Amino acid sequence: MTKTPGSEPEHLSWGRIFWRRFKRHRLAMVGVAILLVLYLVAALAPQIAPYPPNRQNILNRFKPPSRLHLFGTDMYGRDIFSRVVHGARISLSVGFVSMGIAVTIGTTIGALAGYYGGWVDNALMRLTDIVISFPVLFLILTVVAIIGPSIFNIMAVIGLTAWPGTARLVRGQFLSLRAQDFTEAARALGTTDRRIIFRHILPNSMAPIIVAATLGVATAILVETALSYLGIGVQPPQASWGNILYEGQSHMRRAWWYTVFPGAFIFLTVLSFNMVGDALRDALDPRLKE
Amino acid sequence: MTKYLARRLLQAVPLLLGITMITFLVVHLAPGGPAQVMISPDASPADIARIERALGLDRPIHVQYVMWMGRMLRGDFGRSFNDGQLVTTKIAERLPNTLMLTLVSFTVALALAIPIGIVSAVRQYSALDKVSTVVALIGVSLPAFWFGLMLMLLFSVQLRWLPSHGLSTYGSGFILGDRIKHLILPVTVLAYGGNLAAYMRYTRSSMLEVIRQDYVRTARSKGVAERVVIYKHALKNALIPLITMFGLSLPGFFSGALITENLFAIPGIGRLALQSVFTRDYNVIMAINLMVATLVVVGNLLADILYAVVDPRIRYD
Repeated sequence: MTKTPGSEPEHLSWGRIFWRRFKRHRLAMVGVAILLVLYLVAALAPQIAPYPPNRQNILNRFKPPSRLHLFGTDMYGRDIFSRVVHGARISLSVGFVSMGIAVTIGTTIGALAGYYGGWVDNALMRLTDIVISFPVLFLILTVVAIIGPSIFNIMAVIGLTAWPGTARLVRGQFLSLRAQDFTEAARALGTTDRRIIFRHILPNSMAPIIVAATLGVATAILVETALSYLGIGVQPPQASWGNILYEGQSHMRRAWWYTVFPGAFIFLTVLSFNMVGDALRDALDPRLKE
Repeated sequence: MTKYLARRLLQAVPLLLGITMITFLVVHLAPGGPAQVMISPDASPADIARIERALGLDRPIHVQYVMWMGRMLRGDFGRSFNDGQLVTTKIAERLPNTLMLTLVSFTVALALAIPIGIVSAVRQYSALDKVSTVVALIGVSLPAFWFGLMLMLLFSVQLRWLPSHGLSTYGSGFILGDRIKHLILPVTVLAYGGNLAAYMRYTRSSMLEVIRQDYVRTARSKGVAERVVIYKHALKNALIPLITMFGLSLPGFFSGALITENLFAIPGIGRLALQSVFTRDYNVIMAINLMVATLVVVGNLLADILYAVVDPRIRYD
């Protein structure tokens, strides 16, 4: 099965075209690399962290970065590098799970509204308007403060409030695609609504959904760290990037490393997701021909 | 137009009702009410029950909601459970600070974003265009609280150039120079983290689209100076979509205030909001939520009306 490169230049697969366009964004490639490393760090946290994240050593408090403690130590003498490495697990899982919830709800609501139109559309879009008009961070804050700041509650609340953007996007896609010939043809053949939605229209709307999902992970991570930073997020002693910052801000004058490193990780992660999202938007845009 | 306005205002009613209902439900269904926060942990259940009765918290939730609604419509938002102050007084004391902070940073953001956006569109792919794209990308990715902490670390802790907390030096009254010094860091965080990047990108893409239009080519071909083409013919039309953007960025103003005010210890609505959440101050939470939601709804409506005023092609009939 040897294929000489360039033997069939006219038949580039969709994937090849996508990859070729995606590769052009050098920043996005850097983003992909950073995210891969982060994923490995999170997966192998116990192997990578030189110390257990919660091991205290009061005699060793507020030590600046050194070869023994790459990112220094905190107010209980815990190793900040180990805590940041373990915190990656929290941030990434909150990011992905919340985004998964938001995209699932958003896609379902957008698809139903766009496909059926009429009163279904009206009712669902009013609901979307309500959620969009909410001062979301305040709502999340209120809910989490009240039902308790467990990591599952945080994921659920972020997911349940972050879907309206996707819903509007998917609705727009469905509105235009349901009027296209291929949908009409499927309907004329007696295809069920369910099959038209899942087999014919949804696959054609995947591009913007994927982009929204990528950017959604970034937003979810920012919201989780903001919550932890305000003191209502993941609770200590469990380490999260946001709550290390929360502890660190009161010791800023004494230990700069306490806030610099965890924040830099949040920033790099969010930046990478945003860079990859932007490149995906470009590479998946059907209007751009190769 | 009048008919359209009336319809939009009517549509806003169920929206606001929905928002108040959801918030009310969430706040009141929670275990551990304000009575438990108010008194010492070893108070007897009878004491808690007495306080709850005094606050009307023992009634069924729908009754409480209707009662709250009735009072609210008469302009009575109740008193804070914390200090017995009127909720309206508490909000009125802090609102000016939040408004000032938000308005100043929004103005700064626009004053930078629009010119940069225009230049990067006119000189697409130039060095400035590339740099501003990266600057925008960093702006949307920076966590506001960390950015603020880093600025504090550099300018307040290390260099000691700027104050890190509050709106004026303790003990001194209002002095303009002092106020400006206090505002520099929070305004930088709010402007760069929130609006600057978004408006810059939006101006750029909107301008790029307009520049390719026929009427711009016509203007050029009849010999109009390039500067006039860009700043008179193109810019006017390119800025119209920014009005919609304004409506969309309103809820963000509040989230921004929430983080920035708590970070820089500025006595505004955002700080009040966080305190009221921690102490289960129902009346304050409800009032702030309703206020912000109303602002968002009214802001969006204003944006739509402005749209019709600026663009004569748009008619609401």
